[in-house]
Amino acid sequence: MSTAKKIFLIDDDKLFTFLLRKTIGLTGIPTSITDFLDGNKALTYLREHSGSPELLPDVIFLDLRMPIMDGWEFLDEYRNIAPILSKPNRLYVFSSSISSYDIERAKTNPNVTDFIIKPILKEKFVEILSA
Amino acid sequence: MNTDPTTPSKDTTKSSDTWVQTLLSIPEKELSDLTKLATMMCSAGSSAIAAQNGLYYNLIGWHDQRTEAGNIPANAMLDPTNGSKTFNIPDLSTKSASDDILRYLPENTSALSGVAIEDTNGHTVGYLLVFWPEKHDITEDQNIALGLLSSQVSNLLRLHYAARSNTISNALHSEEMMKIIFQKAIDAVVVTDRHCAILLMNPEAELMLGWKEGDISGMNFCDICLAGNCHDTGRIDAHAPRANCTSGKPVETIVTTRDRSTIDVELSYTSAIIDGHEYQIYHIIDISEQKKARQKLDQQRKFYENILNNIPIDLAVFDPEHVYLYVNATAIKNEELRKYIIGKDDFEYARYRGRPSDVAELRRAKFLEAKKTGKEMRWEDKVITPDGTSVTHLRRMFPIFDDSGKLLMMIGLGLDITDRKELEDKQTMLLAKLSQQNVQLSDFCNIVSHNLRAPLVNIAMLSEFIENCSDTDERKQLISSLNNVLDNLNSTFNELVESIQIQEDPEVKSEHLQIHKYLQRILESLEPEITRSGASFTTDIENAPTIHYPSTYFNSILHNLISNALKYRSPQRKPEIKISSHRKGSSIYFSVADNGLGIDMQKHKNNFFKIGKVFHHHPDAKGFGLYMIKAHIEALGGKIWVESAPDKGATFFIEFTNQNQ
Repeated sequence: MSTAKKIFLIDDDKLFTFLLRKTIGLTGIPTSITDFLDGNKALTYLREHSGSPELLPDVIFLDLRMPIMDGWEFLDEYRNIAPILSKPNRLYVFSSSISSYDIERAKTNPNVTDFIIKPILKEKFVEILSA
Repeated sequence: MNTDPTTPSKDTTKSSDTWVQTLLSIPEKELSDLTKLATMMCSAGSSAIAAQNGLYYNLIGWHDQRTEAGNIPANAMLDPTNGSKTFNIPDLSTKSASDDILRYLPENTSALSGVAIEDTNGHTVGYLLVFWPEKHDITEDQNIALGLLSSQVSNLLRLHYAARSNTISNALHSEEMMKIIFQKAIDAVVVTDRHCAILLMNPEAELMLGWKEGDISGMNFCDICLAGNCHDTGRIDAHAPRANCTSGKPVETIVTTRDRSTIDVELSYTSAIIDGHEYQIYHIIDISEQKKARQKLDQQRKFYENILNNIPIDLAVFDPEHVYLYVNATAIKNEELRKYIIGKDDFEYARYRGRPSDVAELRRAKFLEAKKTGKEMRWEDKVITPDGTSVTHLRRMFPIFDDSGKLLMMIGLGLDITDRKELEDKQTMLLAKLSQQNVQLSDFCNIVSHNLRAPLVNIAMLSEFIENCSDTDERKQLISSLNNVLDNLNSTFNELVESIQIQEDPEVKSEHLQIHKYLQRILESLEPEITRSGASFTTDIENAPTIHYPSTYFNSILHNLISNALKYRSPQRKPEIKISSHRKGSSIYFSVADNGLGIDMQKHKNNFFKIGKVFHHHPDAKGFGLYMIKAHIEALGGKIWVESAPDKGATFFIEFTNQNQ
């Protein structure tokens, strides 16, 4: 399905990724979702496939709190990778954090499209995926 | 021939003055032979000669070694003599007015007789007196004998008078000269006879005292001008035996002038014998101006001393060699010590007080630096007073140079800033506590966001799905997921509460803890985990077997580190855990080393102990433990750090400070 939106979900919370898949399913929009349990694994993938647009995501959902490499560390590294990616994408930071400091920090990052506070409703996904 | 001794006319006085002086100058021995004879012939108690001298009769010529000179006021003599040449009082007690003279007669005198002594003109110069201890009617024989003896005294007087006249005329020339010197003298000079009767006053003395010489000549100088002070000086004692009165050092005293005002003077007194006559020369210098100036200076000195001793600043002045010139009462309260330190330095003072010399050394270093650089030194020093309280001073030391740039002196100031210092320390402590609490607050916000809010989000989403789910199996699966999240949330919540409870009380009491006892307890509580992993433990704690720390904290630290070491063990090998403690200075260095998974130090160096930070995909890793123990340790002034390499193991080090208690 060439029209299916390619989504990367970087989050260690398996329950949340399960719930997210279910919510996205409810929108009826065709998607293909890939899970990464930490930032490091996602970076490795992006680096390896930076030249293959068909393997690169349209949308990245990034959690901030993860073991091994958290969301902030991922963003630090991603700064170097973004320019070499052969396909543009939109990156959304998902977090249960309600800290204004976290929100400000994420929104001022040039690679971050928006900061979304969990939980995410079906309507939000429709908005994001239709864009 | 009739002379009234109470009111001698000017002429009479003049004419008999030289006669009286002559009578007074007759050697005592010559007179006392005659009075002895008079005593024997009259069967009397004693006898003397009363020489009329101005307003007094001086009693002289005692034959029985009497020490007191004795003076009888002329008016007191009036009553017994009644103006006659001879008089007899057989019973003094019957005399109504005899009280007056009784006071001046020898003690136990009950009867008195006297015969006049005359000069060549028949003027009375004095009387030969005899005293009886009992009532006595003088016999005819005795009366005749007394008259003869009196004539003998008169003859003796005339002989001496003739001899004296010659001497005086010979001395006239030098006397004139002396007079000129005397008259022109800048200071006041008063000359009296040996009984203080005024003979001469120079113009300066007249000016100062307001009396003309003629007004008071013959009067007692001590009584008139030194009233009340004569005895105070201890030196000019009119009633002391003249023979003992030698020239004295000048004394400061007060003279009374004619108008009864007083003048501060320096009075010196010289006794001089001229032609066998003893004179007293009083030399009087007006020092009232000097004294005023001195008093003013004294007042000023007291004024400044009062200020210097009462300002709440330690003040010391040093000479260029750091020797004390002055120190105020604030710096050294004890007056004796304050006197002691003058002319000495801090080292001598420290030795004297039996104190260590470190304070002296510091001050000497500051002194030398101020001397070298010419600049003010400022420093704070803290001393423990004998009563154990600590006192902080702000010290300043600055040099004073003269115009040529030579160091004149060094001034040292010390201000007690103990209160300010304590406040500062308190503020610093509060600030540290505040910033620590700020960090805790932000951590707490993080925990709430990530560890509490994340599961709540999941619960919310799950419950929504459960609500909308029609499939029974799927619904069951969702509900069991919900239970897992709730369990997780519960344990996270409990850990959080525990960590906050411990942080709340950083002043919890420290005790001496036996490390091995705590280790034993923890190993027992971790028994299932230890058995499952086959872990082995070694200890090296003989060097520092006890630790001074709050029991709960130490337990928490030990539990965290050991359970971490077990939790993050390598699947390839059995855990080997080593616990060590070593003392170094006042600190104890405690460590827990394992051979587990290890941590990539390069990657995690900055956020190692951050809250919620986990380094492994381990189901139990919540990231609280290290954050918690770090918070405890730092709250008590200690340190924690880690050395590790991936797949080699990790060693956690803790420095426990202040272990010398």
